[in-house]
Amino acid sequence: MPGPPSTEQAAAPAAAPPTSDEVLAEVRSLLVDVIGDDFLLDTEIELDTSFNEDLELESIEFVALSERLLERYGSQVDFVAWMAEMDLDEIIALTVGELVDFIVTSLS
Amino acid sequence: MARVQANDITINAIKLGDGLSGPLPPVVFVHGLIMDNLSSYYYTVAPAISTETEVVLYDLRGHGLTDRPATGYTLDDALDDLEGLLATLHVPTPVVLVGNSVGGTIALHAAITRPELVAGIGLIEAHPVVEGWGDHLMADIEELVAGFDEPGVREFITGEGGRKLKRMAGVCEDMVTKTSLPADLRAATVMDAELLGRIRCPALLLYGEASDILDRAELLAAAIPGAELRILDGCSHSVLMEAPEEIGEQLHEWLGSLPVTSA
Repeated sequence: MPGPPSTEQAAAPAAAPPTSDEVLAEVRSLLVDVIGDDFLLDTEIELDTSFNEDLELESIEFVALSERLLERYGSQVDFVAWMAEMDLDEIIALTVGELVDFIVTSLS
Repeated sequence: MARVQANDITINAIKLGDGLSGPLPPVVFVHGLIMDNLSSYYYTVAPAISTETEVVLYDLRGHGLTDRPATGYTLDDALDDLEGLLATLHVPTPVVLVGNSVGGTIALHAAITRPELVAGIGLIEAHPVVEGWGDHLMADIEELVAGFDEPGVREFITGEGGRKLKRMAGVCEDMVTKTSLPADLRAATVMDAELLGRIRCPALLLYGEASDILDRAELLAAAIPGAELRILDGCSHSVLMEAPEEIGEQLHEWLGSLPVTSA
């Protein structure tokens, strides 16, 4: 729903929407949680990093990531609806940047 | 996503549509064998169904992000895990079980042996237990794992094969060599016409036109009283991935036709 953050989400304090850099940092930290440190040591996570080609994220790990993002950002960021619009090939081809853009757009 | 303690293991589960109380019973999705996990439903039919009723997705014992202990892989064990999970999540029973492939075997076993647990079974490419079923299921994967010891294969898997292949190979090898899954599946009781004929709950059978187990669809349709069989054009055993929208519509329509049970 458009408009400024309202009081209906009482848990989330009203704040300026996060910047792309802040969301990227958050996504990085959640990815470390999901995948584990040892693999990520040799992999830089940037906006053009692909979940499939670069990170070799398994489907169950992608689920874990979306669930963590849901916990972090709440229902304002509706991943399930977003992904429902894509077929499996499109989901697999996603980059970190596309995910960050989606989050930033949803929160602004 | 929740880490749920049940039946002495930690089960990875997701509840969607939490708190929805409509006329429909909760729907629990059961995935297939070894390389499968709850993501097959998370990305396909589960979100739409969760707008109608409470939905539970979970990784079976040994699969996905659920624990992989050495034992406990019989069909009875699978139902003990499921009952423990539902109790911990406070999901009221009976539930509708939707099972894909071997997930369908588990749903069938529930409908036969624990009818009080089951309000309906939605079977997608389900395997009933037939003579030699365990051997048939395990033969390919055991051959695959045996091949890891061929010259150079292990080096490839742990080296240039990449992270995903390494993990997939590791799961297959662990399941075959470190768990009782192969023996447990081989020991499963054959579901003959007499056993299947005991099923009293509504049953939907969804199969692909080009499925390699279409004969089982006909066996189930003939043996389960009132079962509805639907064959999806142009699809194979992987019908859930090939035609998720059509599977979702079929499930939606069938769920709407279920008799309303008072909780």
